[in-house]
Parts: sequence; C-alpha cells; structure tokens
Amino acid sequence: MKNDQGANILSDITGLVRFTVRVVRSMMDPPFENREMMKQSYFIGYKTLPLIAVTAFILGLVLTLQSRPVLVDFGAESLLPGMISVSIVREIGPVVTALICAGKIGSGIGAELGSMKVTEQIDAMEVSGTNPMKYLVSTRVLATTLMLPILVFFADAIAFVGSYLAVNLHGEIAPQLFLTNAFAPLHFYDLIPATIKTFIFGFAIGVIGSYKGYTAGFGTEAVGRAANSAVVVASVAIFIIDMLVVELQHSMEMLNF
Amino acid sequence: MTITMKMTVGKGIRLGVFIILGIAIFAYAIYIIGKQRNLFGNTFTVSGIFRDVSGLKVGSNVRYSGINVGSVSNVHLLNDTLVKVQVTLEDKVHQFIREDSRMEIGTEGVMGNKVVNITPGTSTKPVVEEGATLGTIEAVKMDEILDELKKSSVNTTVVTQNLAEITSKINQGEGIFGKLFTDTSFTNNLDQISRNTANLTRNVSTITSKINHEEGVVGKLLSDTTLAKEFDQAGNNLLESTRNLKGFTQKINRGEGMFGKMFTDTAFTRNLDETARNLTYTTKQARAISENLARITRHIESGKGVMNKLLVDSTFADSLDGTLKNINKTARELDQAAETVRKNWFIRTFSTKKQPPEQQQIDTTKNRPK
Repeated sequence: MKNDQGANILSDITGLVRFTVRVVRSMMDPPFENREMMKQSYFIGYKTLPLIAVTAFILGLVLTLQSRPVLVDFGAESLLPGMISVSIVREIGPVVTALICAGKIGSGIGAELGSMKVTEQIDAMEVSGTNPMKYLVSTRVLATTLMLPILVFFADAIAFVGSYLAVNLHGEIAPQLFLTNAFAPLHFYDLIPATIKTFIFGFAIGVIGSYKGYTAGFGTEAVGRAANSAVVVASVAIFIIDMLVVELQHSMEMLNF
Repeated sequence: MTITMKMTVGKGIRLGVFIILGIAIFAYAIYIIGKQRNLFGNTFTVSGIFRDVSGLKVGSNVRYSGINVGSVSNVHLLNDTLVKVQVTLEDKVHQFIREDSRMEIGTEGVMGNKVVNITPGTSTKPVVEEGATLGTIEAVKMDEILDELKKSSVNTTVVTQNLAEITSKINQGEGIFGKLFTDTSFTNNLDQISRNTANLTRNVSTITSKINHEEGVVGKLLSDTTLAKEFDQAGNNLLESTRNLKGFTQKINRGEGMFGKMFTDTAFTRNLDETARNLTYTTKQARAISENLARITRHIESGKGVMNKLLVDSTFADSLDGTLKNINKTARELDQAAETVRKNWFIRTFSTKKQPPEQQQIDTTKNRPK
C-alpha cells in the first residue's frame, strides 16, 4: 500500500483501485458520518463557489469574444449563443470546474490527510475506535461527488451571464432571445451525460486526493508531495474520464439515444 | 479545513441554499430543454412515410407555418425503401393539422439542421386523428441538384462551342452576318441605303414642316380654318341631305308618295308592270314605224316614187306649181262662174229647195266614225 517516491505508476494505479474499492465499501456500510459530510460539503461546495463563479464568468465572456470573429466570417453571428451554450454545457463547464476543484479541493484533501498521516493522527483515530476510512475519506469523497455537479450548474449559469454580456458588447440582444438562442441547440443528450460526467469527476477528485493523502510517506515534505501529486493525478484523471465519457456519449448518439 | 472546524447552523443554511440553487438551475435547464422537445404538456403524434429523410434525427424540430410546434420522436425503416418518421406535436396545433396536410423535410438555412415542415391543409377537411399518417412531399436532394447542374453545364459547353463556331464564321465573312461585318461593298450598300433613308426622312420632315406652316393644299387642309369651316359646312349640308334622304326613304318605307307606292303597293307595281309591258309593245311598234319611215325616206332620197318627185324633182315641182296655179286660176274662174250662176234667180230658188238633204248628208258623214 505504502508507496515511496520512486514507486512506479502501475503499482500506484493498483493501489488507487484497491483504495477506491475500500472507500465505496465503507460508504455503503452504516453508520454514516452525516455531520462530517455536511461540513465537508460546506467547504467543498459553498466555499469554492466564488472561485468557480469568477472563473466561469470570465470563461463565458472570453469564449464568446474569441468565437465571434469566426462566426461573423460565416455570417452566422446569430448562432453565437447556441454555439457557446453547447460548448459550455457539454465540455467546458464540467471540465474547467473539475480542474479548478482538482486544484483547490484535491490539493486540500491531499495536504490535510497527508499531514494527518504524517503526524500519525489517522493511526490515533484507528486506536480510538473511529474508522478513519469512514470518517475522513468517505465523507470527503461523497462531498466532492455531490458538490461538483452543483458547482458545474452554477458555473454553466454564470458562464451564460458572461457570454450574454460579451454578445451585448457588439450588439443589443434581449436576455430572453439570448436564452432562447442558447437553449435552441441543447438537447437532453447534451445535458444529461455532461451531468453524469461531473459526478464521476467529483468522485475522482475526492478519491485521488484522499488516496494521495492517506498514503503519504514520512516527513514534512511528504505532505507537499501528496498535495502536489493529488492535483496532477486528479487533473490527468479528469481528462481521461472526459475522453471516455465523450466517446461513450458519441457512440450512444449514433444509436439514436 | 481542519478537522476541528465546527459546523454551525448558519453554515448549514448557506450549504442548503447553495445546493437548492444549484439543483434549481439544473431543473430550469431540464424544463427549458424539455419544453422545446415537448416532454411536458399534452401532445399528439402523427407520422409520415418518406423515401429519404436526408439525415433527420430524433429530436429534430417540426414546424408548422415556420413555427416550432414539436419534434421528431421516432425515425425507423419500414422496409428497404421507406422510412417512417413519427413526430410529436403540441396539442394546441392539433386543430390546424388537416387530413390533407403534408409533411416535408426541409433545412434550417442552407446548411442547418434538418426539420420537418407540415403544410396547412384545406380548412374544410377534418382534423387528423391521433397517430394518423400524413401524406409527404419528397425533398429535392442536393445530389439531384448537382446532377441537373452537371447537365446544364454540358449544355452550356455545347452552346458556347456553337457560338465560337458562329463567331469564327462571321470573322471569315461567311453568311449574312459575316457580310455585315467583313464585306465592304455590302456595308457600302448599307451605307447608301441609310443615306437615302436619311434624305427621305429629311424630305418628309420638310414637307411636314411646310404643312405645319400652312403651305400647300395639305397644309391648308390641316391648318386653314376657313377651309375647315367650309368643310364643316359641306359636312353639315351632307348631313342635312342624308337626313332628308333618310326622311324620304322613311316615307318610301311607309308607302307614302309615288315612290312609296312603287316600293310598297303591290297592285301599283302590277299595273306598272303592265304599263311597262305596253310601253315595250309601243316602242316595238314605234321602231317598226320608224324603220318603215327610214325605208321611205331612203326611197325618197334615191328618187323613186311620187313623193321623191314631189320633194326632189325641181322640174316636176315647177310644173306642179304651174299646174297648181292653173288649177287655182281655173278654180277661181269656176268660182266666179258659180257666183254668177247663183245670182240667177232661177237657180237661187232651186238651190234653197235642195238644201235640207245636203245637211243630212253632212250629219251622216260626221257620225260614221263612231
């Protein structure tokens, strides 16, 4: 289980899978640590919202401004809201939100659990009869899994606001018309897979952060390494999951899902 | 984010608001998309059968008179050539979809999504029932258009080739147009013609200007008011004459006057006919007489007969004259003798007794012709 600095990727993956199985199993078993879960949700969800809001607003604005010249060249400026909405809902909203959460939450979990591991607080918890897997890890993983989709909904909505402002920089458009245009090309097969994807992203961030912290080595520098590798691995995992989900989604669209 | 941080009530409320808001955003998105795809509210379905749906997908918009009224709910193959397209429409347009409404696959813009257009039907036809199959109009496919374009481009090539041949012939001076463009004598003739035409038009122009300046008969005719007045008078007279004539003919028609009788009274015409026949007879007789006369005069002229002697022979005339003189003389002497005799008393008494039978004789001669 315990990996040293030079541990190779394959054993890391094996350890992650085994850790994930343990987390899921502990999540299923009662009793549940509801209060701790609420606390984690508060930090992971509510406390991350300002960061997500600023990022999403700027993203929507910039994406619109950057896409506009191409559409103007094609004489399809009226399709701008629709194009932006599809981009945000399908891909950019979930992925960017997940990446920011990987940076903020993943690193936080990794560092927190890592420092607890280094200072042997986890061992002490085990001795005192509390299941650290249940109390520390499951609550955090559940919190990220449930909070990330809600953060993505906010991110999408705020990105729409940014996009609306950007469209209005070049010409007047009523919010109602913008919304109609934005939702016109959206289907359930845009929204539902994207939402399912965000649950997976949240779960991945929580599991990877926890795993990296839980398996931190010895010494103070191990805490930093745990936090760092939690962000890196979570980010890479997000892209890989995204790719797999999009492939799945496309193959389902082919079958007229 | 330490393990010792306490979860207060305020934080719980904020977390709750955060979660509820997030879910509300999601629910709104679901509602908006669902509204566009008619997942909520009353709907009804109709279907159409196409040979080619040009990439129509489930969820594609359905339009009635250009308004989105529903979406495609199912596209599936019926057999090897036919595709059945089922569409779900809002209940509020149900009343407008008639049995003779048609389904047609169109495109949003030039390269946009495929849409199903439903055309309005006749208002007298009944409204379609749930699940009815509408008639369809096959769309013109892009490759068919390209095929037509190919044909027309081939035609264009032929036409331009022909044009090239024609122009080269013209350049070489073949045909009328070639003459027109290359033959100098031909063009000279044309030039001459056009010059003549110019002269002609100039003359015409001079004439017309003269007419305008009241020169010549035509000028007078066109511009002199006196003449015009005369013409007017003449016209009036003519008008009056015709009016009279009209009255006259009317009278004739009514059978008034001799002419009227002539044209209308059949008895009169019969008489007239008879008269004419008599006239003919008379003239025939007159002709015979005149012929005889002519013969006589010819005889006379040729010196035959007494008459001729009478008229022509001067010797005879002289002698006749002498004779007549003699007769005259004799008669006078006889007259004198008779006078002498009458004066004799004996004879006078005798003659008065003889007078009444003389008068009777005269009377009988008078009555004889009757």
